[in-house]
Amino acid sequence: MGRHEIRLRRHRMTSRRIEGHKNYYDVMRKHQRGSRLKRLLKLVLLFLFFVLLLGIVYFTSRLMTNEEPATIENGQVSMVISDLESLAPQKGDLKVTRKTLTKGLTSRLKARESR
Amino acid sequence: MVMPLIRDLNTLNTARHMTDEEIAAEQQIIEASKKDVRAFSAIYDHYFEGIFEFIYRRTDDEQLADDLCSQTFVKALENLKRYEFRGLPFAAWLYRIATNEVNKHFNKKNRNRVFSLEEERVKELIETDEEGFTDAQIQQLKVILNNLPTATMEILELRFFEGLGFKEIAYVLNIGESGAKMRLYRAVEKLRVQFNLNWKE
Repeated sequence: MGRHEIRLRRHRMTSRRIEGHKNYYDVMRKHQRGSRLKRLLKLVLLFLFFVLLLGIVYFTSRLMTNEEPATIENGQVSMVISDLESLAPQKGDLKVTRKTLTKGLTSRLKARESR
Repeated sequence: MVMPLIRDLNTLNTARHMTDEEIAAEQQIIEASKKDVRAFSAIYDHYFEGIFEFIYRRTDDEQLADDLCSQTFVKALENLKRYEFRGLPFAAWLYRIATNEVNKHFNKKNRNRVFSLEEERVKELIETDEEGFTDAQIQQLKVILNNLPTATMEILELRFFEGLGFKEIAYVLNIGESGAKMRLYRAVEKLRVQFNLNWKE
């Protein structure tokens, strides 16, 4: 701790003089203003938290809806193709079937989606 | 120069005492204040003078003492719900807040701490011979007190001017009770060497 200074006063402060500084109303006013500010800060923080939460929910749901149809479509197409590959007798036939089938399937799926 | 100034400081050893019943009654007011801040006015009325005087003694500035005192009670009200009863008078907590406020002020302003002591009180505490206190003696006392560490001076002030007990001093300054006693005894020993002090525990 740093240095200090000693001062000696001639007289003691009187109770009456100290009483003059008493102001409970001011203390209460400051306290109420402080608690009002605290409450406001809490509300703002709560609001920001909900906004953040909503943002997170929105973006995750959006990500999920973007990913879902792509995987289903690809999955369905690749499943059918692999089935055909196992059934196809010749390589040339398979190429033709693959093209037409892929086209047909994708157009069907698009039509279903639009419905 | 031998100065038989201080013959007996036994009176300094008696702290302002509150009975257990008084402390319990005060605690009831505090509990009521936690539920309804309006009940706090009784505490404010009871301790305002003491806290104001304490801050004034530590700042030597009436307006600043007013501000810091008001700030002390506002802080007390703000943190009242966090106040834990430890068997000590509520005043100890208020003194702790006031000390922090004063220290914060001096740290912010980067100024030396001030101890503004009343000559009247010094004379009450230190018995003099028939001639009374001379200016030279007062100056010598000032020099001795100036050379004490600030932490020790804080304890001296709380003990002899505020009349707090060692438990309360330890709580106010957030130090151990034995540490507070040790520092005070050392300071008294220093005074005794200079002033032929006859101080008994």
